[in-house]
Amino acid sequence: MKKVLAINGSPHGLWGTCSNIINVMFEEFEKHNIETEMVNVVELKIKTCKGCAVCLTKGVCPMKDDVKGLQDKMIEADGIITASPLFLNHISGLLKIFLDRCLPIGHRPVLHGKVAVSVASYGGVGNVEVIGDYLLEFMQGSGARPVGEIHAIGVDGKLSEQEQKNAVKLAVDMLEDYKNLDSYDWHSDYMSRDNARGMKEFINNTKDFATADYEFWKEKGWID
Amino acid sequence: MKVLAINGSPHYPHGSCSSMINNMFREFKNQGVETEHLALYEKKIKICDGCGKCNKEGTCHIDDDVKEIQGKMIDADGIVLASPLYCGHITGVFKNFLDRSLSMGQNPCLKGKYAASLCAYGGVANPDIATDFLLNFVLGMGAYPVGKVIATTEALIVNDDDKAKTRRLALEMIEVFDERKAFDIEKYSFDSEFSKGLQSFIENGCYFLSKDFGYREVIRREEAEGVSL
Ligand SMILES: Cc1cc2nc3c(=O)[nH]c(=O)nc-3n(C[C@H](O)[C@H](O)[C@H](O)COP(=O)(O)O)c2cc1C
Ligand SMILES: Cc1cc2nc3c(=O)[nH]c(=O)nc-3n(C[C@H](O)[C@H](O)[C@H](O)COP(=O)(O)O)c2cc1C
Repeated sequence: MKKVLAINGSPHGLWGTCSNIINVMFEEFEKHNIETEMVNVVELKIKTCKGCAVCLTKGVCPMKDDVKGLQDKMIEADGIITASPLFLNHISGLLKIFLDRCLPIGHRPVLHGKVAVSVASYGGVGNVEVIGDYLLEFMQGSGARPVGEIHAIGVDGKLSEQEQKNAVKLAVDMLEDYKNLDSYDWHSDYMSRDNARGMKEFINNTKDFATADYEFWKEKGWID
Repeated sequence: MKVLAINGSPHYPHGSCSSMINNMFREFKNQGVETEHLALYEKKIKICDGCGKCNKEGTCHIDDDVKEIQGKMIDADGIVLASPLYCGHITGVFKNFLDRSLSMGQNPCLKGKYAASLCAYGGVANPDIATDFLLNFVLGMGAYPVGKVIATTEALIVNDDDKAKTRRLALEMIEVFDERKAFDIEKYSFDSEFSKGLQSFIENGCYFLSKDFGYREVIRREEAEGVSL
C-alpha cells in the first residue's frame, strides 16, 4: 500500500472529531511509510448535481469544479477513508452533494484493487452505523473492497482511549485486507447484492440511452 | 387549506417529482386547496457549517433562503416533500436543507399539519429509505404523516398507476385535514411497511429534539399542563 486518501465530509474540517479519528489512523499508516492525504470536502468547490445524465450517456460530467480532481485522487489511492458526522441520522448533506456527483463511479466501478473504510462521529443519538452501511455500500458498488467502519462520540473533539484503539485497529485491518486483496472476489461479493441486481437491470433497460454505462458493463463481461 | 410542496429535484419544473406533485396539485385545486410548488434547487441554501448554534439559540446564523422556506412550511396546512432517489437516498441538496433545518426541530412547530412524501427512482436501491427519511423529519416536528408514494420511472416518466396513487394521496390529505385528525403516536398503528420506519425512528428518539424535549414529552406536557406548546 502506497497511499491512503481520506475524504472528510464534516463541515468542521480539520477541527472535528472525524478528522481526529482520521489522524489517528494516519499515524499508523505513516509508521509503515504510507503516504496519507486528507481532503476536507468543505474546502472544495462542488456544484450540485443537475441530473443531466450526461455522465451516463457520454461518460463525463460537464460541470467544471473540484469534483474531478478529488475523483482522480480516489483512483490514485490504494486505500480510501470516507468520513461523515451523523447529521439527522445520516451522512452530512455536504458529503451527499459530493456523492451525488460520483454517480458515474457507482455505475461504472473504477475503484477495483482498493480497500475502503468509513469513519463516523456523532452526538450519541440515533443509529450511527447507518453511515458505515451507506458509505461502504457506495464504495463497494464503486469497486473497492469494504473493510470496516468506526465511529466515535464527538465530545470536545477528544477521542476516548478505546476509540483511539479502534482507529488504530481499523488502519491495521486496512493494511491486512490490502495485502490479501488477491483472495477477495469483488465480483461475486458485489453482484449478489440487491443493489447490483437492480443496477444490472437498469443498465440493460437503458442501454439505448445510457450508452457509456452499457458499453462499460459489456466490455467487463458483466452483461450479455 | 394550503399545501406547500418542497421539491428536491434539479429537474424542476420538469421531471418525475414535478409530475407527481402536479398530479397531487390537480386534486388539490379541484377541491379549492391553495398550492405552492417550491424547488430547493431554485433557492440559495448554504452548506450547514455544523456550528451547533441552532441547538443553543434556536435559530441558524446563516443568512439565505432557508428561513423563508421554513416560514412557508409553518404557514402551510399540508406539506409534501419530494425527492428523486440519488445514490440510494434523498438528493444532497435536500439533505443539506434538512441539516440546515435542525433549528426547526427545537420545537414541535409543525404540529397540526399534514405531511406526505414522494420519491421517484429508476429501480436501483431502496426508495423507502428516502420517503421514510422525509416523513421522519416532519414527524419529529409534530406533523401528521399521511402517507407516501414511490414512482418507478423510465426516462423520468411517471406511469399512470403511480400518478393515480399521488392523486389518491392528495385526497387522503384533504380528508385528514377536514377531520382535523390529530396525530397520536401512542395509538398509531405500526403495521404497514411505511409505519415501521417511523416506529424505529420514534424508538431511537427524535434526534433533532433535545432528549428532554422529545415529541412524546411535548404531548405529555400539553396534557399535563393544559397548554398548547
Ligand atoms: C445539522 C446537524 C445534525 C446533527 N444530527 C445528529 C444526530 O442525528 N445524531 C447525533 O448523535 N448527533 C447529531 N449531530 C451532532 C454531530 O453528529 C456531532 O457533533 C459530531 O460529533 C460532529 O462530528 P465532526 O466534529 O467530525 O463534524 C448533528 C449536528 C448537526 C450540526
Ligand atoms: C446523481 C443521480 C443519482 C441517482 N441515483 C439513483 C439511485 O440510486 N437509484 C435509482 O433507482 N435511480 C437513481 N437515479 C435516477 C433518478 O432517481 C430518476 O431518474 C428519477 O426519476 C428522477 O426524478 P426527477 O426527474 O424528479 O429528478 C439517480 C439520478 C441521478 C442524476
